[in-house]
Amino acid sequence: MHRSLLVRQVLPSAALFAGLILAGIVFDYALHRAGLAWVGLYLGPIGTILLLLSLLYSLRKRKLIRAGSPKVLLSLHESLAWAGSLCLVLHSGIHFSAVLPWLALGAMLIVVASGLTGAVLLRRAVEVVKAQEATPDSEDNRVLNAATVDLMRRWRVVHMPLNAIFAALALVHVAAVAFFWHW
Amino acid sequence: MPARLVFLLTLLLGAGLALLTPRTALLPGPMVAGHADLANDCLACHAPFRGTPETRCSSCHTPDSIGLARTVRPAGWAPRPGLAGLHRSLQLTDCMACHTDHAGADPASATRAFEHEALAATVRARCAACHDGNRPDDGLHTQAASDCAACHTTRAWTPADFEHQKYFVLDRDHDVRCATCHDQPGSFRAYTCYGCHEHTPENMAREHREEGVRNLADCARCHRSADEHEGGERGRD
Repeated sequence: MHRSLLVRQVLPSAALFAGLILAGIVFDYALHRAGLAWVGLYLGPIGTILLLLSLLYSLRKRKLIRAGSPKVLLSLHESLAWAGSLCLVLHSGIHFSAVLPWLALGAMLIVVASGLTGAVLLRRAVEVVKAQEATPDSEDNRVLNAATVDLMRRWRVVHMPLNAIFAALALVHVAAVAFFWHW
Repeated sequence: MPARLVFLLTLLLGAGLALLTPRTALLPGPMVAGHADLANDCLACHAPFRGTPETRCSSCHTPDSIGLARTVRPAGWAPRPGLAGLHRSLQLTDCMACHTDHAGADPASATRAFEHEALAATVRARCAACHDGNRPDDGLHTQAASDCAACHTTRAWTPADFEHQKYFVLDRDHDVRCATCHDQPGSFRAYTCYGCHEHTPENMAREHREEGVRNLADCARCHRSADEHEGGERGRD
């Protein structure tokens, strides 16, 4: 059971996070080698748009929009958030200079890690619900179900403020760029 | 803590950090040496939401003084009249087209590559106005006068595409060292075809006598390649 949890749920999420970092390093190196480091500048707005699009799931979940299947939007949320985060990692250029953009990048990576943790919990919750549906009288499954639901609720309590921190830092970065930009 | 409150607090902290320590919070890499003391004075160059108007640069760096005078003079600094001439010749007034003060991760990026298109067309046509010191002191370049663009591009001096085949095709046995034919140092207009054993004055005189050709000094007047039958009528008396 534990091995199954690790292989089917934890490892894919961990691989996605490691893949994000690795892809960032590899693509950044390739862009610099090809003399295309300037592309990173434009990946900032592109990544931001992808992240904003990924929020369609959050809007749907809060019933602020009615269109779209929640399942499809959740899948889109995960994909777009990962791709947008990769764009922003490349946008940072993996260079240390100003502190604010780096705080924003750090916050974004924490949000990604938190999101991937949420994905693990969600898949776990789905399995527990299915198990309880199969054996509704099992006391163990009932307890497990309640515990999983509680864990998801607690996760949201952490995930949302992390998102808020990232959004605020990103907003300050964008505002600073707009303020100083040579239009 | 509600997410909205966290958002507002972070926003305030971020904005405060940017306002109180712009050098730490916002500066994208160290400033170039001459502007190091402006690192915390962003608005010395930046106009809010309008970038860096050239007037912010020219208020200190007047176009007439660039290359000739500096407010901050590092050790070993010397006037560069060529730089002054270059800046006077620019048709662009946007300093940022070539310069940026934030060295960033790569200090070399503080100055962007100069593009000749930044010069007025009349200046661009006069290469020697800036590059006179680059001209090799040989006959070829003396003869070329000021028409550098006939052979060179603005990307680099080499490779240059001087078309020798317009004068003589260097194929077969004629792919030799320049000095074999151009035997007068410093002059590429002068040449001789008698620099190799194949063409001797006696042989050439004998071969051309029956054709009625008497001018045996300027072979390329009739022959523009190794094809001995292309001579035509031009050399006849």
